[in-house]
Amino acid sequence: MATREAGKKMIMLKSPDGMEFEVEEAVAMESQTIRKMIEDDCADTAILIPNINSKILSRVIEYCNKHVPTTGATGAAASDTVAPAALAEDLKIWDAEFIKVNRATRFDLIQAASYLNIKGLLDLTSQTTIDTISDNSLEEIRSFLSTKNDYLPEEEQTIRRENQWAFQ
Amino acid sequence: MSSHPSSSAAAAAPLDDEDLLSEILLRLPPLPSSLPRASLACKLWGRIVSDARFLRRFREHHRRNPPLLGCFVQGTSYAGLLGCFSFPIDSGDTFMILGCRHGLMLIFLWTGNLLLVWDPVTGDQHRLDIPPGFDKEETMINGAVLRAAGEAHHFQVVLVGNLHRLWPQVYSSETGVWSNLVSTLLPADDPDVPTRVYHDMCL
Repeated sequence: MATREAGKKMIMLKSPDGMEFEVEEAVAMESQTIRKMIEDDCADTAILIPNINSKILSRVIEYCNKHVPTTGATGAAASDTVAPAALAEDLKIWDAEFIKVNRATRFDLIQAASYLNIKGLLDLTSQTTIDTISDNSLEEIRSFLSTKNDYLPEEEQTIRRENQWAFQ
Repeated sequence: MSSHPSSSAAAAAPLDDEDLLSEILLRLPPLPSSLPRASLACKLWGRIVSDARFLRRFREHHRRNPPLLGCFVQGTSYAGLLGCFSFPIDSGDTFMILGCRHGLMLIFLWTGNLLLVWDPVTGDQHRLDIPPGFDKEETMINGAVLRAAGEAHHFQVVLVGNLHRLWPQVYSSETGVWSNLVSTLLPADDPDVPTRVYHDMCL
């Protein structure tokens, strides 16, 4: 396995379109899927990440880079010197910028976060999607999510009648 | 969009994948109207948000701000529930909600002279015969259901009738039998005193 300065262990991630990304092992292990591969010793030289193209994979790595718990030269957590609240606030602002992407990219990120099992990224992408639709009408939601209404008119009426209070 | 058909197909994918769609819908705000409204989007959404496993995860996801999944209403001319549950009782049946605790509901089914213990989230139902000595025509029945915390799904039902004498009976789902506690005479001048069941097991 490759190593870089300061003895940090590096790992190679490969996308199916042939791009290679060298990342710190700690960053890659933000993904529980990759963590398991490394811990099970299934990640000798490079890890192929199926179904996630290089554009999305690079964004995922960008996210993990920002969210990996950082350690200083002495090994002390960076949060010893920076107030945790300020750090959290900084991350929140960064996340808000990060997720300003179009719908297709966001859905790709949801799939990637789910496959790679990165809880924070799955939370961020899914919550943003829900927040986008929560205040909209049903018709707008269906249109935004490309969901087709497959209820018969009478079935829809029954659901509306049974839960009349929820649609007022 | 027409020049990139593949990207639009990929964009729709997470919403065709039930697991990913569940992940997204888990983040709906914990309001009583959230799930009924979402269920109207399409049949797939309706199926997901009424699924027992999803409801458990929804509750777990919002545990810091627990969602109100529904509520039960019983009036003189109407009884039913508001929310994403399928009420397990036919509309023609006469029933009385005796209690609700620890995620379980205790319902007295007048028509069949049965007790129903129902878990609205998992849909589990247990029907119990009313123990001997409770005459529904003459006895005022009250009761409570409770279960211990933890993984065990056993529960207890306490039933109290008050026809001249208090007859508290306790049913344990672990043993499947009713047992007597004590009986005590009611004040002779007020034989219809309403009973209530209290216990110190629910915190």
